[in-house]
Amino acid sequence: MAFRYRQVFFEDGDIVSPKDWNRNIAEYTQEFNGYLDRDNLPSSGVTSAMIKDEACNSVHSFSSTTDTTITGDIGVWQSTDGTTKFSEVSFTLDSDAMLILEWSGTWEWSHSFQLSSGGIAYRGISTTGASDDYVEYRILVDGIEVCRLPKSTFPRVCDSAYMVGAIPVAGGNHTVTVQAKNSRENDSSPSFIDVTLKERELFVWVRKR
Amino acid sequence: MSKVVLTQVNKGDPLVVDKINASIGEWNSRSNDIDEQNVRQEGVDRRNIASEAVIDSPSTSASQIDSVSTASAMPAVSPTGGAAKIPDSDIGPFTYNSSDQVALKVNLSLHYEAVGLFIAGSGSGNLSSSLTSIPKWKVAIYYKDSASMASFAQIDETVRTITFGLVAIDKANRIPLSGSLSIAHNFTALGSTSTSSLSFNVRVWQDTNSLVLPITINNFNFYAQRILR
Repeated sequence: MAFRYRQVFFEDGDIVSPKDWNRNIAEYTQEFNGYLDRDNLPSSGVTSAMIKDEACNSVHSFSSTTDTTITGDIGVWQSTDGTTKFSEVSFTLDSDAMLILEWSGTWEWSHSFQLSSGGIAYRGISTTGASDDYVEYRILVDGIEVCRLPKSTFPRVCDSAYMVGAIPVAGGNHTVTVQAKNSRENDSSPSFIDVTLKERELFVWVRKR
Repeated sequence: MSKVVLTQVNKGDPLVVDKINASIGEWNSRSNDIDEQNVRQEGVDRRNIASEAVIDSPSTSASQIDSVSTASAMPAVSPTGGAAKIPDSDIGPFTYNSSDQVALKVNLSLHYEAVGLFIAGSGSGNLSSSLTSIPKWKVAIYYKDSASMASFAQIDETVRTITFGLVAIDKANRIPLSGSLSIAHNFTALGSTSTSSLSFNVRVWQDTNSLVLPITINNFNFYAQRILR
């Protein structure tokens, strides 16, 4: 609390000592020089222009329109095809914060279009073993899983999804990564079908205050 | 930094006006330049901060958040000739200033429905045997700065593709396509650094196929919000 009061009261007829004068002035000065607080500021007196940029929030995002491949492999989470990362951002925080993480993207299963009079059109659907192929995604913060999407199965040839999660973090360096897994329930033939991850965006909202 | 430096009056000194005025002058000049050095750590609380100083909030005419939503089905669209705007999906205008805000966050959520695809017979959803690829629908967020752009432009990162690989033998056995779609986007696409006339809408179109297959948008919500500090 920053209410301060003069230390010495002067009365008529006093011989004023410089020491008393200095004490009174120093009382206010000390408060002004680093101890002002909520009691010294008016209600709603702090406007946007007075607040330092990114004092309360910061945003880090990754977006891409470059195709990248999620190769089929039982149980293996991937974050890059070796050249292009799926989605990742790194940043440094100077204080504790809450991270709100959002990711959305769209993908397509590689396939051969086979429109036939026999009925089902796509490879895999009528072939034993491939109909349970799925792709799933998750967001990790410093290696810790925060949220995960439900599995999207092969029959949804082109699909998109969105996931959101939140996690408190301490100050320091942090990396938010999106991983994907192109897998199936049973590792049987035929061979895996690649998934092409297309337009996508990772939005990291850092809530500090 | 706005620190007041006092000019001490010492015992035995003549009380000249210069010394008194020096201290008063310090107060006068420094009080117009208060910064974080003058305020106790975590000394400011919510009462002190003006409404919408940090994040724009809804409910006032001056706020920089706008949204549209509906819980009922919108008319089916058959956009084979290019991207068609989803009816009533316009929001804005927003002020965008890349040097004076943290972000402009755009969020979209919708539910879609389309007829199932089949081979034999006739009617909506029937695939011609001459097709070489499955019909796809695409959805994207578009933007326009009314001060500098004649028409809306696509935000490439927000394009999302929808299709369904199950094609039935005939109409009786078709399986409707339905699902939801959401996007969170950090808007940075503007060529200029600032504008006060930025608008958004959502468009849908059918890709790579001349087959007209209507899609219906349900339960639609679209909003944008400025994060200031």
